Amino acid sequence: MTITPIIGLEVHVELKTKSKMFCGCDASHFHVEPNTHTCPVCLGLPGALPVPNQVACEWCIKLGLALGCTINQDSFFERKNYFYPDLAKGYQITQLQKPFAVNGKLDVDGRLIRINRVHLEEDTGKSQHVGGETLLDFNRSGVPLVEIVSEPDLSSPEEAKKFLIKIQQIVRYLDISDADIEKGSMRCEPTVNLKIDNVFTPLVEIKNVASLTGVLNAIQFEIDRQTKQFQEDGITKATGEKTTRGWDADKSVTFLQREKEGSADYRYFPEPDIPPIVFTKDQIEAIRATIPELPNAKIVKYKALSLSDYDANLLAENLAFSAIFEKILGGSTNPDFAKFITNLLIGPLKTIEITIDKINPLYFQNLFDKKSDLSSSVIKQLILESYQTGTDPLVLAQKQNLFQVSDTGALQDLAKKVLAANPQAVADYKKNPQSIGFLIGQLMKASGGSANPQVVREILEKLLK
Amino acid sequence: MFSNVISEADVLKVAKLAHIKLSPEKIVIFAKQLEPILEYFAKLNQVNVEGVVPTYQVTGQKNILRQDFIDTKRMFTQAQSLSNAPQSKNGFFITKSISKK
Amino acid sequence: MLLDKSILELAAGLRQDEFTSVDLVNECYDNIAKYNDKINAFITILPRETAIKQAQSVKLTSPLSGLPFVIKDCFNTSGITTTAASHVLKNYIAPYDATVYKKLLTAGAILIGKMNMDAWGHGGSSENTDFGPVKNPWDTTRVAGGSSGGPAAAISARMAVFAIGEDTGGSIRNPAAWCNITGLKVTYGRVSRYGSIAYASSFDTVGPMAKTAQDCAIVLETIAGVDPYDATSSPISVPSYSTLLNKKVSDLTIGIPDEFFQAGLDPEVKTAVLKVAEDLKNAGAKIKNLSMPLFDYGLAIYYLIGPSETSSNLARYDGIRYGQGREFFTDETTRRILIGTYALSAGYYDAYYKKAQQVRTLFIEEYKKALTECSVLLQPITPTQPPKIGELMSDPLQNFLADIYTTSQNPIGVPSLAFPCGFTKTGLPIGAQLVGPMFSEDLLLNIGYQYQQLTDNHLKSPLSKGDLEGLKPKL
Repeated sequence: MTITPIIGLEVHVELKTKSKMFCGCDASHFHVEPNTHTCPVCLGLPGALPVPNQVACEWCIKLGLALGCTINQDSFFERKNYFYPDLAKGYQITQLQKPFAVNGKLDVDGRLIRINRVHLEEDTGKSQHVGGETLLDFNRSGVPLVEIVSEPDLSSPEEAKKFLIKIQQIVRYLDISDADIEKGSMRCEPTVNLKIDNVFTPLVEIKNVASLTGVLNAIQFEIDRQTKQFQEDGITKATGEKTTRGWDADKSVTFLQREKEGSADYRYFPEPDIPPIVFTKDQIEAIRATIPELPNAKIVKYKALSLSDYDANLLAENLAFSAIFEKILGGSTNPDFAKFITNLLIGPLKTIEITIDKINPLYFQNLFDKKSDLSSSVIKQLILESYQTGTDPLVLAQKQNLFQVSDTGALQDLAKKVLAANPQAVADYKKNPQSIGFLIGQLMKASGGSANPQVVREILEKLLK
Repeated sequence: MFSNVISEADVLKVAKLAHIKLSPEKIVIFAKQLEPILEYFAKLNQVNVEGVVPTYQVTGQKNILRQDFIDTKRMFTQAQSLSNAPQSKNGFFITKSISKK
Repeated sequence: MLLDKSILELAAGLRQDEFTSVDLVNECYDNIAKYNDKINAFITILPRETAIKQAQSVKLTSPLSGLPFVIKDCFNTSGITTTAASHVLKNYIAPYDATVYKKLLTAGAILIGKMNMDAWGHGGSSENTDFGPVKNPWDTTRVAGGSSGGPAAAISARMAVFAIGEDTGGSIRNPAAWCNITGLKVTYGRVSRYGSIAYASSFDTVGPMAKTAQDCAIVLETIAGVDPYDATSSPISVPSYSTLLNKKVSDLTIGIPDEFFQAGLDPEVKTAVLKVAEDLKNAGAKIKNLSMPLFDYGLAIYYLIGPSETSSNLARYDGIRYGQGREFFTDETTRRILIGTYALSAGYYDAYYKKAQQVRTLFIEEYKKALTECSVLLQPITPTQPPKIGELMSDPLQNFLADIYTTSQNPIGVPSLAFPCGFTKTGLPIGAQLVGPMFSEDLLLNIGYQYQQLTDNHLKSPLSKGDLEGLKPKL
């Protein structure tokens, strides 16, 4: 039995605009007193009318462009009609026939995952079920959401997780959302089915996945569950129905929520209260021009500097971090320098909060030039201190007498003394050259720890010949 | 093309979609009343609409958008927001729980 | 009676201290006390003391300052119950103001009533209401028309100087015709809909109702204009309508679309409406007969698109954030929601909703073409004289067919002025409408004013020289 998972993702990203999608209410709703950011529009009062937020439209297009989409110059909103207590108007204003962006793609570790659409819509209010009651808060009602729908091109839970991380990074690079899954500013619904030999299992949409680990585990659980289910009942996509299942993170299982997904008839029709939206080619290009170099492009650039996959990904993780790296690197194409900077950034400088204004590229360059005269631990200490005090690290090194002794003359004398004082170690070395470590240590101690270890080794090896 | 008869099952299905509870008697009555009206719509079959673009709005306007700023003039206080709620508690609107979305 | 005077006469009188705003308020409330029980035009009568207080402190900054007015109960008026004539909103106290209401308050006009109507705008007789039908002041056994029946009856019975109504498929024009007043269905987007409880979003218009075209012009100047809270409101500048009434009609061609005057139209109504053309011809206008073959389909497109949009607009009434539950919708409203839901549902969308929107496009072309052959179109408003109460409600199909002359203008968006043009043998009012191109309110009001200089139907009131007991029909 050959089992191939087929995974698609629907991602919702909450835009961090100041105001809501169709009204001027404050769009913030995290830790805000309930029902204090509402107005006739987002509360769905009789007679209220929606007017779209221009920035939200531009940011949706921006994200579409960043995901390689074609932008529909003519676009419009539609009503998706259904009833739920947290849906104030009894319909959600969203996009269907003419979304802002379509047909994009995202490279996930060399595999191109197709993006079906990127469109704009409004969020619902929040419901809390307590006892037999539902408590409703409409602060979130009307907050702008961008919906990203992938084609079912993902082939494993890990790949799905990576896809999400990349979306998250891009969204943060564009500075249009915090994309925090725990806070709910990024939400994800995987749809999973399997190809088993030549047939397909029915589609399952998974809701309530609240973390990246959850995505991983929920999809894996579904793969296993569908495999077992198919072996039991043999129901295929052709003979079965699409269902919705909820992820229970505590029990680590999915459970059936809604039997017939297909029976929801949303009666979409174009939103009569909102005139269509037209973006000219020039306006779209102006939006494109505000897109910074994106993570995937940066990773390619960094790997060209001979940085490892791991290091390149780490540096590209967020825009601020990569900006610092690039500021320090300047125009240099020296892979050693690149590696040098990287080690300092992901090492000692990761332990504190650093801002790009306080970074002086010259200090890094200076340290790099003198790196053979300083031990690596000293370098780490110096870069931290130089950042915190704003002083040139070489000046600090000088003051604190940290330069390593590379003067071979002095070291030669010290080495001879060490060899003379340790005849047993010399004998051991002749039997086993790997044991030179002890002698290196002795010479380092004798030089007060400031000798360059490589030079020390060379001197000893020469003398011991 | 148009079904000339709207069945009671249709009325029930549509009422469900519209979240309207109808008694069995009402369903029968409505089916009878709606039938001639839906038949009247069959008139539109006489019109050739091939290649005709639907009109959803007559303003001809485009790009009526808002700037992204907070309109404090229009925002409600919590009390105003809840002022017409049949039931509310601790700042929340309340309703009896129903099945999940 | 002061309330027989025009807005200009009242404005002048106030400024010349012939009478005060308090006098006007008192006359209105006296007439309400005398006649409203028989007419049932009001859902909420605002407290007299409040109106008097406003009248005492009003500053006469606009022609409407100090004038008592009423508003159809589908407009949000802060702090005042707003019901749309449905028990669903029985206890809904509006927490915000409709833009049109705000503008009138700023102009110093004094609100004295929220008016009875067909619930949600669903009807042409003001009988589909949870607050009892509105009776016609000319014959209280008959309907006042709808859905803005309350406002029309109030103007007719001199209970207010002017009113704001709402027209989606004839709702200002129909009661204007049956109550013998003047009403204007504006171009879609001319007046902001923000705060007006939506019936059909792409059809709804907000407009003035008063005794004369000149009065309507003055009100329109104040309420028209773009609104940032309504994305469909028009940015086209607002002409000073009241200064544009004096052009003579001799440059104009009155178009008469033959299909609007066929079988099904009451002969007395037909005669009275066609006489309008004759009167205008005598004043120098030209008459042209023309054809609008799509006439037959107007009702179908209106009744497919309107209910579709209303089924969606009424989805917010779930009794959670305000109001009562959906079980309080009347049968007529329920029927429209069902029709609309059906027309939008999977499998029927293309055949019903989309098709209707395509025929709408053809209609727009047809009106455009007709209006190149003439300056304005003359059309009847109602196929019959005002029916007896209960007649229309007992037959949903008849009720539906009664809108035949007023349902094609809203899907197109064109404006139409409704005005009195005669009476039946038994003394019931007859109205006619003039339809023009988009944003031609100035032209329509101009013609209406000129016509009302030549005729006196609009001056007749159902109130006799003394008190009118029982509001018997008058000749």
